Amino acid sequence: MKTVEKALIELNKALLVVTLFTCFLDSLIVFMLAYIMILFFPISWIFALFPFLFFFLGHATNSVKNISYTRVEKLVPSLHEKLRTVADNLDKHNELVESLNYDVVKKMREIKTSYFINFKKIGKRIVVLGVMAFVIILVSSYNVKFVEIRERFVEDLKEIPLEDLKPRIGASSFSGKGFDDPNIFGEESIAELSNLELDLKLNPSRTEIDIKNVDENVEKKEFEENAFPVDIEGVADATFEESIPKEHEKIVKNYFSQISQST
Amino acid sequence: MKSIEQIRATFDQIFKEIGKVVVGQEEMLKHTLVSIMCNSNALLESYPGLAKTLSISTLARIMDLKFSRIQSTPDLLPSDITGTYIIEESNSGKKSFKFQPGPIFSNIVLADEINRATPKTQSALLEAMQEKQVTVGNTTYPLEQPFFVLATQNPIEQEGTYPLPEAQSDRFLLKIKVGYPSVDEELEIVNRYAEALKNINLKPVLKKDHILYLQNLTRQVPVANDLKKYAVDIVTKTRNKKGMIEYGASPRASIGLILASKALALIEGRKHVSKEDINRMAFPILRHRILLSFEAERNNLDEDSVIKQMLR
Repeated sequence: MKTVEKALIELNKALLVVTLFTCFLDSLIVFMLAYIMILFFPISWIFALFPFLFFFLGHATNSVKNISYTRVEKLVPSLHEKLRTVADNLDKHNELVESLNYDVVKKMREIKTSYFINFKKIGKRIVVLGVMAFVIILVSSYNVKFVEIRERFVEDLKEIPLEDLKPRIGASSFSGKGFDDPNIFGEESIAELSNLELDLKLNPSRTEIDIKNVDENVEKKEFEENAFPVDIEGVADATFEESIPKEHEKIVKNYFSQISQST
Repeated sequence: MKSIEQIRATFDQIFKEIGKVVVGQEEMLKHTLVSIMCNSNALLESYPGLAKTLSISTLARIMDLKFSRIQSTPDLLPSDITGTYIIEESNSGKKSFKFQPGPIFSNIVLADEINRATPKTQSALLEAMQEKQVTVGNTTYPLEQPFFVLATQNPIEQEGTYPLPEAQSDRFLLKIKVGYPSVDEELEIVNRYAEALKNINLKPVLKKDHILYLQNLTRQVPVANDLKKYAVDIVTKTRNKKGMIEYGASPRASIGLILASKALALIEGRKHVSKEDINRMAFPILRHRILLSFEAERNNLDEDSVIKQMLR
């Protein structure tokens, strides 16, 4: 193998390494961006590797394809058009080609890998990476997660006393949505209390139905779809009502006021 | 092998020697040398009195080559160029035909005002230019190497002239335009030739075998593939630029452009062809190979300005 061929192989290797390194830095920025986004969701960080890998493969393939001696010639003006000429005429052997090869090899010895590194560009990328690393630390320290915010909101709802929810149960239990709902306890999220189901019992003392006194000749009546029978309508707070005759109301009232004064 | 520095020094010496006789016209002289290095022919176009003939004859002296000049006129016959058979009588009284070579049997032939010769006479030059041989009667005579035809033509006084047909003008590698000298150059010309004539002593710089060696070396100058493609692109563009060019250049122009660029690189002491060489040689290579459209002429465009549009 000719010396110039070896030199060109070495040059190609150096160009490849520099190109791949630049691609890696770019891809690292993509990875950190993906990582920052993932931080806000309860997803594993491994998912940030996918955009990184896809970007790296695409970017590297494209960049490696675009590696050309023109780039080297721009960086080393003394090799302008010579490098391309030598590379394209490796199969030719004559006085001029040999002489040109000798000149090119001589000049290529002066080339260092650092010639191909754009320090300004790489510096910018490193600064961007530093800023992103700082953002990651900041977001991690606050432990901000969009999904947790939602969960906290639901928990806050659960902490509201059941009494505050009662009027809403009463208002919706036998009308509107709750009307067609086969679940007599209404919304499950409302019925739940600290993950325990509310144990509701209908007070049997309020019923006026006497099973022994059932008239079997009662006329069958079809329910209309839009008119619910009035006799089975429930009143939520009826359980706690007491039937005090009107003439005794004043006595009871005095009794309770005296008790409250004595305490 | 001579080093490239030695080759460059040789060409510098040639220019220096010509400079003793011809003032200025470096571009014309360089292009003429390009044509010689490519072992091809050139057409020089200029107004009268711009040292075309003087330059060529001086070049022949410096290169130690046999030089002949044909002044073209409408009554010039092909045999006046190629030569003819004459009857020769021996001492014994025996008469026989003997070939008397014409002025074409030289190394450098200057066909002055070629457009004044009839097409029949012009075409007599075709075989010599292309095949480097002459056929008279049934016999073909090879021409001595190196051989170049350098023809001149006058862009004015077109009456009574026979413009070169496209097929013939295509056989000239270059069409070199010779411009007027600058004021300083003209002053130097006046100083040199309007006073007492000095005997100018010219030293031959090249020998025939050196020229043949340099011609061979010219073809060895390496070219990068993208530059070859660039040259071919320029030529093919002339066929696709319908708005400006009615007829484009042939593939012979692509070969010529690369070859001429190689020669220019060698003359200027470079071991490879550059894009600049191609751009510079595109003008003399293409200007006689394209036929401008009416639209281009209407816009007062000449061949050079149209070629310039095709260069990057």
